[in-house]
Amino acid sequence: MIRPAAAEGAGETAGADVGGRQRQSARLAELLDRSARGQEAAFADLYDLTSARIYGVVLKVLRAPDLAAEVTQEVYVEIWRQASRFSAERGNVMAWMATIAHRRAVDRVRSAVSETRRDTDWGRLDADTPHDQVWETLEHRLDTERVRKGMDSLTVIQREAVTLAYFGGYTHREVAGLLKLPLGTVKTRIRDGLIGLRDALGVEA
Amino acid sequence: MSERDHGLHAMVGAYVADALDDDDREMFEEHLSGCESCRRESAEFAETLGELTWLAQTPPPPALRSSILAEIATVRPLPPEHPVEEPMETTVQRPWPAEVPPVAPDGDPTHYTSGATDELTARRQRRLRRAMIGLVAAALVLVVGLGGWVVTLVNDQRNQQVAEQQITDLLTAPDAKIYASQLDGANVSYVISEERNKAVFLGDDLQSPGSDKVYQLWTIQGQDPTSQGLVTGSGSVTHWFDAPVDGAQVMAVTVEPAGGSPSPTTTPLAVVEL
Repeated sequence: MIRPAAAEGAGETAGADVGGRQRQSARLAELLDRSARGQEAAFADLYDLTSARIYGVVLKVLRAPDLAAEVTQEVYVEIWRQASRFSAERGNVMAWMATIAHRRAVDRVRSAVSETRRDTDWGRLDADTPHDQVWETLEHRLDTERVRKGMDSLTVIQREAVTLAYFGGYTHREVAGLLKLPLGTVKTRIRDGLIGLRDALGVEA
Repeated sequence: MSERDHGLHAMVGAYVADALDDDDREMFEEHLSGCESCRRESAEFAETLGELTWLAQTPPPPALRSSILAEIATVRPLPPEHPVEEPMETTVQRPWPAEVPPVAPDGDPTHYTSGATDELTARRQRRLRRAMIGLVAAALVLVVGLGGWVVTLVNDQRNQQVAEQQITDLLTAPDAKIYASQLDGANVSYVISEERNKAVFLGDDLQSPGSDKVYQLWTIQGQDPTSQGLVTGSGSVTHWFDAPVDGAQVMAVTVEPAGGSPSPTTTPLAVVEL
């Protein structure tokens, strides 16, 4: 996919990261596109490039590794099924996948019925296989650092409100209870926080 | 802005972070469908939270990979929601008289140029242009054939002889192409002929974009948007492009404040690449 905007974007807030992010974004879009056509190898590549972040966010919300693995599996099967429905107008592939993953994790947290079915004992299998190292590349460390700096630029309350809502999977009413703040304040802090983070990261929709 | 609206605007962050309970979410989604700025902000926040996942990254259990790949092998991917067809040369069915005298659409070509007055505006315009171009690079261009509704639309307007003749004239141009797309849920089409240097925008069951707002039509050549005028009315609408279309690479619609804007200020919709 050609993105003639890459060079122009590099001069703005996010600096040289933009080019790399757009390349990454274009790569994911290509893999998703091929997945929509039933190419399992492309989907395997897509999994390798994204699974640490998708599993990671699901795990943050659910905390239980077994449950997180189960939900992550549902998420990827859903992504595979829905691949053709991804619309570039709605954003980039990673944001789309993260939205699906987060929504499903939160649904699981909030559903009164706790499913206990386990197809696999993930913990046991864990020990036998070497870990994939893809998430530890230099580029990924830089991305992590960039986002961490963005979070550091927020006020303490903004950061806590965003973190509890997104990674904690709490509703804004619950966040208000946890932070002992009025609901209106929490709503505003979550939004302010996301605006601050958006600007710090140079995100454009 | 009413106090209630103000409260709803503030919910956009919690909405994107899945932090609304069902009642709040329902209420907000109702608001979102009519609030362009919240839609834009929620798209930006979704991107932002996508970035935030960097801080969560954790190696998944290795067995998960093979388990997922084994399962997807047994699942059929869904077809696209909007199948794409070839642009149709309109050499087929013509349910109207063949020898209609050509009537040129009266046009007073107005050529707006994007005069950036300050750095902020310039940056915003660069961003929008980039969004437009990025969209075009990525978007599926929905190109359908004559299809039922354009014909119906043309037939419905038989009593509006002039309008019909103009459209007929354009549709019968040897190089006429029809591009169909969606605009806030309504079917829209662009009919364009480079030879005639004219294009028309047709909307079916088009809703108003909201009070004090208007749909504005654009063509883009390279980096430069050209206003093609404001689409007024709702329901079945016909709007002739104000300016010549030669050299246009993209056609799109944006929601603008009443009276229109010299260059796009919101995310382009119904984007079609020529």
